Formats: sequence, structure tokens, C-alpha cells
Amino acid sequence: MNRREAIKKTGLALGFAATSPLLMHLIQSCDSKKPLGWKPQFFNEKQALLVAALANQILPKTDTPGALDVGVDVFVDKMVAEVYSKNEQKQFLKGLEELERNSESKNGKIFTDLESHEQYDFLYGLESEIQHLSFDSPPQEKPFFLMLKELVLLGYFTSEEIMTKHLDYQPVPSQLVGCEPMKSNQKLRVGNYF
Amino acid sequence: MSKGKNQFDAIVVGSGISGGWAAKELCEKGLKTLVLERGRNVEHIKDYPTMNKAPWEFEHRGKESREVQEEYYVQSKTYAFDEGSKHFWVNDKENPYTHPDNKEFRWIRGNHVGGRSLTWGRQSYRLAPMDFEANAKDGVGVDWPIRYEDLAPWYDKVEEFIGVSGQNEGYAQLPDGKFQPPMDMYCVEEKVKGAIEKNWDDRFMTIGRTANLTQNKHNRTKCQYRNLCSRGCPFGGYFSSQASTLPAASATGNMTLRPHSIVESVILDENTNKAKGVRIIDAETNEYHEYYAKVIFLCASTLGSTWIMLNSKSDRFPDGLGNTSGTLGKYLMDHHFEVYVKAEFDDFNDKYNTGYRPNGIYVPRFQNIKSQHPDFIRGYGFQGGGNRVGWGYGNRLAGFGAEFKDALMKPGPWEMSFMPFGETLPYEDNQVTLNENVRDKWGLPTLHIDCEFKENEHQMRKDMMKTGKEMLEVAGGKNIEAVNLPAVPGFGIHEMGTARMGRDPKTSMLNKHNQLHEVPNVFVTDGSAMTSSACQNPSLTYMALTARAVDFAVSELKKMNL
Repeated sequence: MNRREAIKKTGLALGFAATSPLLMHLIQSCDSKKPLGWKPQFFNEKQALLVAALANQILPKTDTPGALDVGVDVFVDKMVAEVYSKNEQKQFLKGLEELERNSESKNGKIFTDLESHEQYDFLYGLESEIQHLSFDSPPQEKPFFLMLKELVLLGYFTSEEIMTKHLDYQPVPSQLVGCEPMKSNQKLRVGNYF
Repeated sequence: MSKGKNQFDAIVVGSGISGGWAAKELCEKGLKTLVLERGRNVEHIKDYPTMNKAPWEFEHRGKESREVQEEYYVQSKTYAFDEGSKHFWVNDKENPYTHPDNKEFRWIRGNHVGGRSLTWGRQSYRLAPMDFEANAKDGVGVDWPIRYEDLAPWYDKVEEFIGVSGQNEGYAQLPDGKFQPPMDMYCVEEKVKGAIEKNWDDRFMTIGRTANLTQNKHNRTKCQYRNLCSRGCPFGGYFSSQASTLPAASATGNMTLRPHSIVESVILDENTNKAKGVRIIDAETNEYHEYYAKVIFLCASTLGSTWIMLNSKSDRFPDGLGNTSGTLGKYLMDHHFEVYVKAEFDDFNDKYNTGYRPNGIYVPRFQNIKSQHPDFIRGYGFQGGGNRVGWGYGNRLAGFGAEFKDALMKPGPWEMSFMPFGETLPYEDNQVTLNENVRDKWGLPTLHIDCEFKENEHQMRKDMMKTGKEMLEVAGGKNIEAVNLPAVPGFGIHEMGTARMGRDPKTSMLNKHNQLHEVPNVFVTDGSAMTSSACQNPSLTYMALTARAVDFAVSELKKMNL
């Protein structure tokens, strides 16, 4: 199963239709071209802007905050600088470079110069080429896009803003109910565990 | 006779799961007891710096910095190690050990008051009658010198004191106990249980038996379902030495706790063939001290106690304390795991749970009970559990963008996973020895650990894959995946067997009372005493063996036999 097939399956499992990229870009915000307002510790400014643009595509602002609203770009810089091994750092930088080269050869422009819907289409194509991450055959080296996605999801979903205002944050549940009816608009329950 | 302030009735080496029990029992029986702990002090609640922290309050949201990963290069591999618990594990660079290049061993340690009782997995299962009979029946290793009936009342005592929640089921291979009310199963677990028990008459599933309280006990509050156990619990919701046994020992007024005390050796009185006391190095001042007592309990963990005995050389015992048999350090066992089986379920989308249960399910051993499997002896039990997955599963899915984000903000699908733990046989060549060439920062020799899983374990793992998958299949699981990772000894954190109990002093270290055959006032009651490993999580058994051994030791003291 490749990742595109996995997307379709996911769409079904989650109860939404796999919407066309064209429709999807219309509801996505386009605020990734602001100048960098912070000083990265690992990336140069160009790399930091690219990471921000990618994070913004992965988790864009909708009626809920996007990745950049909760500082995910700053978080990715910190994690790559302080948590990644030297090898992973190299791999990550190589991924950023390849993505830009790819974008130039396919689109004639670097990624950050693309319109938001062009960015989406480009990443959609890129992710389709990644093999599905199977439980029983993990890849030798994690594809760059998945490395980035992991950091973006972590930074976003463990932020105070998202956990306390947009998820069902219950730090001390006090009781256990193993199986109870769920209301249709139930948000994900989260606590303080990792 | 008095040696002043360094004279005690009893010395306990180690303050973890076994040492805490020895301390409590000895103190409650009126013995002035010195508890020696090689690491720093950790006080209940006061020294749990991360117990209430939210993810965003951690600098790396739970991940370890590169520096920490490098310092804790073994410890950081284990599941319970993260940014919230890293202060409860040893720094690997400062605590070296060696192994052959082709035989990795992961020695997971917590050197501080409370030891690994702070971070343990809390699963608490009795060994069964068949486990104590297995070696004799199979002709493997040596026979246990005790049977289930010898330990049953001590299991009762321990379960009642520490608080174990669980369900009595009447399984022959997993004896019932004195349990607090069981935790709930999740919907998907009920479904899998039903399917398993409908399709097989010898396979069952029960809620995990865990040392988490479902009712208040002593000064402890029942579990609040935060799932933060390994950071230390401000409620005392799970059993640790800090929450349970050490306060009981301390309340008697009989305990002296001395942290930063590395026991270098047990001092033998060669006239009486009894131990006089122990020699320690103060880890902070590097000074040597001696402490004396009538009875000594070694509870320093399997490899810790074994190291002390190996390093306690004398003319009488040139190969280590009480080691005329030559069995000390041999027959090292650990449970093999790292077979994982997982399935998705597309039902129960309208069901959810409240609380993050720090516990799973258990499928007790079913192989080689009624009939004999052609490829291996003994068996394995499945741990695991169901859950409605959260945002983290987004890492396993293709997709990004607005709808992807919105989907991850809702509960994901239900999944069910199995993680079997298998019995490992006692092999003579799975052994630890002193390495005089590699010294620690106090100049002491270190351990060389030479251990591997062998054919019986590898055959068993194939069967784990097969039976795990078939149980999820009959339950209607979708996208079933199974993996058999290269199992590394030590990683089960159930190391056992290097000072085994037995009937014959020629082939074992300890008798049926956990007493050194050859040095009668030294008792060893941690995992090193285990004659076979069974497949159940072993800590409950160490606690029961400890309480039983203290009872015997004190009665022998009163009879002037020690």
C-alpha cells in the first residue's frame, strides 16, 4: 500500500471524503510569507522560512489555530538543534535542500515563492511517493517529510493553547470509565502523559 | 560485643521493591535495621519534580536532548524513560558494564532510594503451581526447593499490603489473589475477550492485575488515572517503596536509611562462617565504612546483589560469598518480549473512555499446559490492550492540511495490541563475571554480562506471532500487523537467576528460605533467587519471597540459630 492509498483509507476511516486538492487549498490560510520574526538557533533564515511554510501546509489555520499560531516553527528549530543526532540533523537539512531543488525543477520556483494551493499540490505529490510506513517493515531511514511531520504534530498537539482550548484536556480524570457513549462533537481527550 | 553506632540487628542492602519489603518486615518485627542504598535519597512527593507537569512545560515535550541520549545511551531505550522520568535512571557513562560485541545486554537501572519501584510497570502476577514444578518435570536446571503452597500465604500478605487491583478468575495457570476491585476494560477489549474465549477453551483474557489502587489504602489515595506513574505519584496511587514499605518501616522507629552507600563487600567472619557485616564506600566522600549486624539481606537487584557476592572474596570463598558451588552469576534469565501484534477495529466509533488507564489486559499462558508443543517447552502470556488512538497516529497516516488537522483533533479509531512476554530457560553459559579491567569511578570492578536467548526462546517467538495474529483475526481486527524484533536480553527488565534457590548446595546458592547454603545469616531475596523465570512479571514474587524469608530469619534469630 502506498501513502496515497493510505490517505484514501484514512479518509474513509475518519469519516471525511478525500477532498480534491483544489477545494482544500481554498480553505487554507496563506500567511507563510511574513518575514521571520525570530532568531533561529539551527536554521538559517531561508531554511527557517521554508520550515514555516511547510508547517503551515501540514497544519494550516482554519477555525482553529494553525501550526504557526502556536510557534511550531520555533519548536522545530529547537528540536532539530537540541534533540536530533548529528546524523538526523544532516538528513533533515538534506531533505530541505532536496525539497527546494524538486520544487524548482517541477515548478520553476522555490517552495516559499509558490502560492498556497501550489504548495499544497506539490506536497501532495511528494507525499504520494513515500511508501506507507508499515509496522513490520520500518524504513532504513525515515523520509524527510515524515520527520518534519512528526515534529510539527508534536509541537502543535502538546502546546498549551491547543491542549487546553481546542482539545478535551483532562489532567486529573480521577475516575475510569472503560466504555461510555460518545457525543458526536467530542474532541480528543488528552492528559499530561506523553 | 557492641560496635557502637555502626552495630545494627539487621542490614538491608537496597531500597527497591525487595529491599523495601525486607526493611518493613524486619523493622516491624522489632529489629534495628540499617537500609543501605547506593544512590541518592528520593523523598516521596518532595522529590518528584515532574509529577504534575503538562507536556508544554517540558523543554522538548518529552523527548530527550542529544546530550541526555548520549549520557543515558542504554536507559533511554526503555519505554518508561522520557524527559519526565530521566532523573530516575542511571547515567550509563558513569555506570559502565561490558558485554561481548555480538551479545548486547541492556541493563536498566535506577540507583536511588526506591530503586526501580518508582518506575516499574506494576503488573503483579503470582507464579502458578506448575511454574514451581516445571524444572523438575522437564529436567531443566534444578528443582525449586519450594512449591506454590509455600508462597501462597505470602502472596496474600503482599497483595493486601501493597494493593493490587484485578479480577479473580480461577485460572489454574494464574492463581487468584487478594485483589482490590478490577479496572474496567475498554469496549474493544471486551470484544476481543469474547472472541478469544468463544474460539478457544484454553485461552482467556482478564484485566491486568496491577499495583495501582482502585480503593484508598493506608495514607494512599486511589489511582487518579493520569497515566503518569513513572514520574512518581503525589497520590501514592501505585506501589513504590516510597509510598508504601519505607513509610511503614520508618514508622516503627527502627529504620536507619543511609543513601550514597555503595556496598563493596560482605565481611565474613572466617571463624564462624557467618557474615559480620558489610563494607561500604560513601559515594560522596569516597570513604570506606563498616557496618555490623546479626543478619544481612541482599536486595540490591539481581545483578547488584550478584556483584556484591562476587566481589566478597575471602580465603574461605575465593570465588565469591557462599559460592563453593560455582553457580553464582550463572543461569541469568530475562523474559523475552518485543513481539508486537496490532489490529485496528472499525466498530465502537460512538464509544469512548474517561481516564487514562495505567494498565492493560492479560492473556495468561496457554501453551504446553494440556499438550506439548513440538517446537518449544514452557510458554508466554500476552500483555497489551486497546485504546482509542489520539493525534500521534497522524504520524502513521498519509495526509496533511485542514481536514487532516481537524480529524486529529477528534478521537481516532480503536486499536488493540498484544505484547507477549515469554519464559526463558536457565542456561549455565548465560552468566555475569567480574571485569577487573574496567573499573567504575570508585575503582571497583564492573560486570561483564554474557547472555543470549536461545533456540527454545526463538521457537516460542514464532508461536507468539502466530497465536497473537489469530486471536485478533477471530475478533474481527483489521489491518493486522505483527513484528518479531531482535529481542535483547535485559530489555525485559526482569533479570533473574544468578544466585538461584535449590535443594542441593552443590548446584545452587540459596536454600528454600533464600538463605545462603554456606553463610546462614545472609539472605538474598531479589530476582537473583529465581530458579526458573516462568513468564509472569516477577516483582510480586520477590516481595513474597522477601516477606517469607524475613519471617524465617527472625524466628531463627530468636532460636539463636543465626
